[in-house]
Amino acid sequence: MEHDYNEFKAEEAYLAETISQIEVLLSNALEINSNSEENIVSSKKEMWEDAELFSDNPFERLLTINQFFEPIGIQIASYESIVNKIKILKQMLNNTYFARVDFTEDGEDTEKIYIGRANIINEDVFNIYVYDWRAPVASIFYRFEVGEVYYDAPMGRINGNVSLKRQYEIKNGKLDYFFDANINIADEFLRTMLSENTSPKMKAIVETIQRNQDMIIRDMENDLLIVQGVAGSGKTSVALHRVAYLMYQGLTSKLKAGDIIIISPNDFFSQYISDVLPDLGETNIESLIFEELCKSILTPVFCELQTRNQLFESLITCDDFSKKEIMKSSIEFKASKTFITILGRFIEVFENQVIEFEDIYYDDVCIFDKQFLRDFVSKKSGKIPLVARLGNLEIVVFEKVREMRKTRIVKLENLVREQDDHVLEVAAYARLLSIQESAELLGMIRRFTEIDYLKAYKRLFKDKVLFYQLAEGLILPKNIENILQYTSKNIQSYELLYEDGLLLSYLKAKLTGIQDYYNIKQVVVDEAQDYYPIHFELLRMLFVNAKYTILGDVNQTIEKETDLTIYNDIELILNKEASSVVSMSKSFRCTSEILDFSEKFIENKTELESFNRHGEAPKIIHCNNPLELEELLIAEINESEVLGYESIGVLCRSDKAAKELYSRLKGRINIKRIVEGFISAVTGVFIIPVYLAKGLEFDSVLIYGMNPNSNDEADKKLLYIASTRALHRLSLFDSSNEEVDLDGIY
Amino acid sequence: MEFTEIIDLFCEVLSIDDEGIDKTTGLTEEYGFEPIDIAKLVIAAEERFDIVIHDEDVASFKTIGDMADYIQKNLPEPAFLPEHLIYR
Repeated sequence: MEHDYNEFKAEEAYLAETISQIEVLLSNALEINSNSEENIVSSKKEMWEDAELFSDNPFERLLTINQFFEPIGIQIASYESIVNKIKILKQMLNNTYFARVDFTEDGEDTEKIYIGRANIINEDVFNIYVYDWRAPVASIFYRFEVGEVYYDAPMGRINGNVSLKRQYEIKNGKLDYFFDANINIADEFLRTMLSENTSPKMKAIVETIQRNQDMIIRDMENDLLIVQGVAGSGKTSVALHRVAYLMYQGLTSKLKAGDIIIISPNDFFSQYISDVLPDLGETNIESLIFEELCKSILTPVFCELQTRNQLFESLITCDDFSKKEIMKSSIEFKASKTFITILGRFIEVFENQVIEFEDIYYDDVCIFDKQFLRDFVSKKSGKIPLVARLGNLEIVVFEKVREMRKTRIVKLENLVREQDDHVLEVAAYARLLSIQESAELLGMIRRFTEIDYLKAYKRLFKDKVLFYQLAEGLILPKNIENILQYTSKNIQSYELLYEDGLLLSYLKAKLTGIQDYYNIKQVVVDEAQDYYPIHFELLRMLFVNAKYTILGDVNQTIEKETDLTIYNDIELILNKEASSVVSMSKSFRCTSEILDFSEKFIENKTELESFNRHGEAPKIIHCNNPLELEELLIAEINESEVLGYESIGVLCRSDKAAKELYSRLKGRINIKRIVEGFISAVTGVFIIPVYLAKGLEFDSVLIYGMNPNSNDEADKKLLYIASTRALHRLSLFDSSNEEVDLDGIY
Repeated sequence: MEFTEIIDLFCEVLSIDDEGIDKTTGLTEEYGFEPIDIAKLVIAAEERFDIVIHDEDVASFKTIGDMADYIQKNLPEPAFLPEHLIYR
């Protein structure tokens, strides 16, 4: 785009001025940093020296060290924020800003608002060179074209006019080009960005945030924001930018990194997205997978929990129809609202029907009968969690025992005296008897004050009288008997089924009243379509004080029937005052051709909108001979490499299939197999099961060993997920005996 | 209270020397301790440190370290003179 020579010079001059300001800020920050680094080192040294000096006694040393911990913690926090600042400033020396709007607030002069990764301010003269993309005024760049605009500032809505919108390409601190943007040109810019190859990890998209994405990122109205976003609509990216935005807002509302938690579908995904927030200048935000939450609740528990990916794998690879049916109906029923009601009723009757109180005797007297114990525990039910009430009961019992112990000891001493053997050590032997009987008494009391959660959970499925009593008035699945039997059988094994792990966590969390997560203020849940009501019940119980951002795509479920009603369920369960469901229907990832191809595998097509970027049509390669098919696969991998695609994904139906294919290919081409929890950079050729590729993207995708004609709904969903991982090129290798009859695909 | 004080008490009560005894030493027959030794140790510790050891808690002392921790937690609060009464 041609620009006035003077205009270009003026822009260059502004860039130079801004960069010199960044250099000043950077050198200040580096100085503060080296000072605080020294301070921390010297504080730490001082701490150890002092602690050593104080005492050899570990108890005292610990106390001394504790006195130092807090101030050092504060120093480290500010040190880290300086380190982040330095990182961002260094980035901005290269890529200083990416946009400008000329904004005239009603009744004021026109201001040039430059927008970049962070604020660049000369505090001495209050000159703002660059505005952080999260600043309120920056929203006008994302939301409006030239003309009348407004933005919401802390003091209220600001109205005005934008006379210019400009976007820049600055590389290594040099202005490459800029253009004044109306909507088409901005789209062209985005199209250029999208046509590039994918990067090894997800990256920040501040330059290309779209209007509706911006609305989601900056939403502060809703306590619960649910985003239904089609594949490739950027929902994960938007969620992460929203986190960065909330942190920026948090500067005034005291939101800290530890107040936000991101719930990812798997470790692999957590690592894939791990660069985005640091890139936006935010670090230390915890990302967890749901199973980790369960483990932290259940610890210590002496059994393994099946992970969600293991569940997916066993469902996908199960050839036995009736077994698969029972697996599916087991999770569908047990993770449902109906079962949560049953579990809730179980918890209600727990102290009356499940715990078996016994009369307590001490010194040959019944000191508390079981009715007293039951009444004591029931007294404060509803207010205090059961486990705490049982703990209190133990205290009350032993207060009484301790009161009686003096007279008891005298009796025991007399008893010892009667035995001639220990006349010289009467006190010690009497004490030993007392210790032994007290241990026995404690053991007996713990039989009902300590809950064996797994045993209790087992009983729910074994004791059918109890189960049907709890299920009264509820609609149960037809195969309920099979589900009970299947569950009972599985609980005996060392590894708990995925849904049993969830339910056991729910049971324990409810009975103990876990408060570990009360500080969390914002919870982000990605890939929510694979979660069941029990997941959200658990979240509600754990994150009592949190607001939620929940993202999903009902078309991308695995082995589960889901429709849009899942979002109503989530709203009902989380029960927040202000909530809304927004939809992101435009897919930016794939070319139009790939999107058209993918659409054939899903029912709900109307929603999907293409960004209109064109590329090659996807290919279906059909061959009955597996050896030949593999040759064709290798040829396509080579072709993709020749075309310059950096990330090439071979997607298989299951991990089992991926493993088998990998063992045949590894000697012939350079290929890596992605297994759960492992990642190196995603450049090169990868082999991965579809369920693990969710949320990821590859330049070229090769789907191997799946039948595009399949009528199986679950397989169609897998095909949809697999196809929509591709940015530029897609091919499907089918070895089934069926003829391909998808219209107009190739 | 020093951890060595517990060890000393231990050796004194049981008339053994302190070689090879540390926090991780188990209070079990495997380490040569009889149940009666534990009872003696409990009585002696109560006297020496002016504390009460509840009999129902004793079963939780698996090692000397466990017992030391229990004693430490239950030591009487040291009495401090109010600031204005301290003679300087």
